[in-house]
Amino acid sequence: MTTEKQLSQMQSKFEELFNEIQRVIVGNDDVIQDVLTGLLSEGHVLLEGVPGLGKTLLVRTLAQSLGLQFTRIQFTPDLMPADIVGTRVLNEDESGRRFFEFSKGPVFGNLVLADEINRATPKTQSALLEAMQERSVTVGNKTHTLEEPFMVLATQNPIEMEGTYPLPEAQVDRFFFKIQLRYPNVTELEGILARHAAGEEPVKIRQILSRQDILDAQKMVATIPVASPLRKYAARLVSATQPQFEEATPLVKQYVEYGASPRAALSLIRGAKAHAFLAGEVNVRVADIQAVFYPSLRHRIIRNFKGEAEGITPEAILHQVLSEIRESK
Amino acid sequence: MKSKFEQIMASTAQRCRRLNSLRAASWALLISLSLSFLYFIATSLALLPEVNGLLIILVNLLAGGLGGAYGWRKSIDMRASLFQVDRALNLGEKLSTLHELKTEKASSEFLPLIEERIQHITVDPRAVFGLSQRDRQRWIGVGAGACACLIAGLMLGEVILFGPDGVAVLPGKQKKETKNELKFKDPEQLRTASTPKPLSSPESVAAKLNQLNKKINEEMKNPKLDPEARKNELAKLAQEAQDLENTLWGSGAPGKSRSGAREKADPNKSNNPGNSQTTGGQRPGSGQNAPTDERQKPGGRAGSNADQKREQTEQQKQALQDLKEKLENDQLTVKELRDALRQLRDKENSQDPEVERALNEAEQAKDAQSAAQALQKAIEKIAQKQATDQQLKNLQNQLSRGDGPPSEDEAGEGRESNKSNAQQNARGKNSNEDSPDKSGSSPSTKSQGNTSGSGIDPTKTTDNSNKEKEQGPKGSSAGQGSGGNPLGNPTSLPELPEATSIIDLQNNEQLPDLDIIMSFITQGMPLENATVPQGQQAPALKINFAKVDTALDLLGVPPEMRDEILSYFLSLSTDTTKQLPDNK
Repeated sequence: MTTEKQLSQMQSKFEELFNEIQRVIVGNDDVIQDVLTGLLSEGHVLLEGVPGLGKTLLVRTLAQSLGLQFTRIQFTPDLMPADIVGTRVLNEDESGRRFFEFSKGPVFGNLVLADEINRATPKTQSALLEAMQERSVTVGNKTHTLEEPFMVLATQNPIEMEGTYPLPEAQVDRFFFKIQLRYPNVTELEGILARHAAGEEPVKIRQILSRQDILDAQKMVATIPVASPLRKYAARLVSATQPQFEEATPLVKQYVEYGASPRAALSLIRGAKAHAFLAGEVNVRVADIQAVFYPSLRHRIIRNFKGEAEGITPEAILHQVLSEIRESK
Repeated sequence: MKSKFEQIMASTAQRCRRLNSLRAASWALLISLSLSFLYFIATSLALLPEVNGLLIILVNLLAGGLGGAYGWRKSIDMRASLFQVDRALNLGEKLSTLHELKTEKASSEFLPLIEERIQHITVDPRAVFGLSQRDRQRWIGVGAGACACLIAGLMLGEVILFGPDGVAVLPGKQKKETKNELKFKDPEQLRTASTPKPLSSPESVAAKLNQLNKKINEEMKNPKLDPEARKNELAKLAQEAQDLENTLWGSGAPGKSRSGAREKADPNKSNNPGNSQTTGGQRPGSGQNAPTDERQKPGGRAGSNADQKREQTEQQKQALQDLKEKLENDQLTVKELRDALRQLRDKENSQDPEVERALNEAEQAKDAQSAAQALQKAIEKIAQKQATDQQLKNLQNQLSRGDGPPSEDEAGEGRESNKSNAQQNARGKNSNEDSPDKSGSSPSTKSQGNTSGSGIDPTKTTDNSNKEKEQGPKGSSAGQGSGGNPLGNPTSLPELPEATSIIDLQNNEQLPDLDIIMSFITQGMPLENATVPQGQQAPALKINFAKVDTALDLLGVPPEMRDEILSYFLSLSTDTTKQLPDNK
């Protein structure tokens, strides 16, 4: 039974975690918030941004502050699936008897950083599919369950298209959130310079939450109630991204090939719950749904050729959907 | 005790029900008012029969009430309502979440946490739920519809507060007019009541006419009145007759005729002997500035107006009779009858509401038989009115003839008649012995003849001017006695026997002779009036003892003789077998 005290304690811990990350990451508070939301929602996050915005630093800092097992996979074109999930290697015991032994790959961690995921081939990228969705890895005829909590934080560079392999839709859909990092503004940049320019030692991150704390928080978030009007609202928002839907906006009808899937709706609600939790609420609000609307859906909108040609961004489409769909009908 | 959430739910539900009720009522009213308006249009086109305006109002109110009740009982989506409250008051969707947790009875860890958090929330549903723009527009539509219906009702004269002529009838006024009348149940009665029926209907005029007759009779029997006062009273009665005529024909100039009556009642003007002598045929009142024609016709312009209306009524009656005959002979369909009646009514509108009603019935009749019946009814009403008018006309003739000098021929005849009567009186002949044909007139005529013929002046102290004055009226009285014989008219004979006598007295200005006094005492002239067969005794004289003293005073009988005279009369009254003596 969750009490008000337990809830407030947990919420204050996450607030502390947020502040701890902010010690390293200057600016991009919404990104930190979304990453934590993804963590609490047991989802995987795709971080998209140009090089040098601190994507890897963010993930590393998060891992340090959570006290979880952190692994990193640098995706390259020659990266093989076995390099991710692990492989069976031939070993020999003391008696000289040979046997195959499974050597766990980097995916067997709590917090996996898939850096520049779009540089690997689709074959390698798809190696993460099972791990991300099923939270298990099958090698040979044996399935290995991944330890909870499991979270993949992938990064990708949106501008460097040469030598990259854009993620297939099926894989992109498995990411709970797609978070876009922006350039820091002058003030934020000045703060970054102030912290790193004097040759000081990197900030030491304290562990704020234990593994169990995270699991407890995830359970707590999952039970946060959502009123039916809000579920209906979320469903209508998701449906409005589908061009065949009657409430679809003009941009959707004109430029969208495929709209968001039901998994997107689940992401929306779960993300809203986590957002409400982080905001200190005990129930999901309309504001929570709206807050996680963009990161939940932006990577699930598949534009048609005309949309891509005319440079219609998914954000523009989603903006129209959000502004046109009223919360109550 | 109700929890905070239950209180919020109750107030929200009540507010929602109220709004639903208003919304449903507005829809119902809008529809019912639209239908009412269409009904008014249909009624104006004679497509539908007329219905009581009050009924229409009640139906609309009932529709509104039913709509309101339906709206109140309509189920409320509390989930959506609470979500609306959440959104409007920025409550973080706690109410809707809590409502869902409670209704689904799901065991949520967060239920007590949410309940705890709403304890400090103040919710005013009125701030959330108000009339929407559409509701306001609909209510404006309802108001416009009500105004349209009211105007339509006014134009068609269907609204209860308004009469058929579109003139507002104040409830108090209507109450006053219908003070002694019944409570009305149907609009036809209401419409009839709003018109001044008691004043214009032939029945009421006839009733007044009878009252007037009675008054005249009473005046005649009242010996205490001196001639001057009697004359005034008669002038007033003449004016009343004029007013009755105006009322009957709806020609309103009563003020004018009344002023004429006042002038008439002025003895200095009406008894101008010079005028009466020089103008001959003119009436005594002709010394006034009033035109002769107007004076001759009672009511002046009103009289000519009445004549015109008489003519119109006669024409209308003829036209209706023609229509009825055609209808009965199948020469006319009901539809053609309607058109003909409309044309007829456009041409000349009947003043009589009962005739109007009968014509309405004829117009709305579905078959020829009922239409013919309605037409017959209308014709009968007109005939009734004409009969009343005839009666009134006779009365006016009597009054007017008593008012002025007769024409020379009439005066001559009157003189001769008076002479013969005077001779009869001088001979002391009992009227029982003479046949009525011989006397040439009814007993009243005789009385008049006696009045003028005897010419006794009991005062005997009047000066010359009085004597001169007496001559004019004397002549006129003589003329009146025969020339203006109202008894020649068979309808007036039984009704007004005494009126002419009074008129004679008024114009004579002499003290009445003994016969007149006898008539006072004996309550008329029963012995003269009676026809006694040969060999039978006449009935005894009925004596009005209350008038004996007055008669004796008038005759100047000395007090020592009175006892003897009284005992004589007493003997007459007690001994019924005795006949009236030939003379005193």
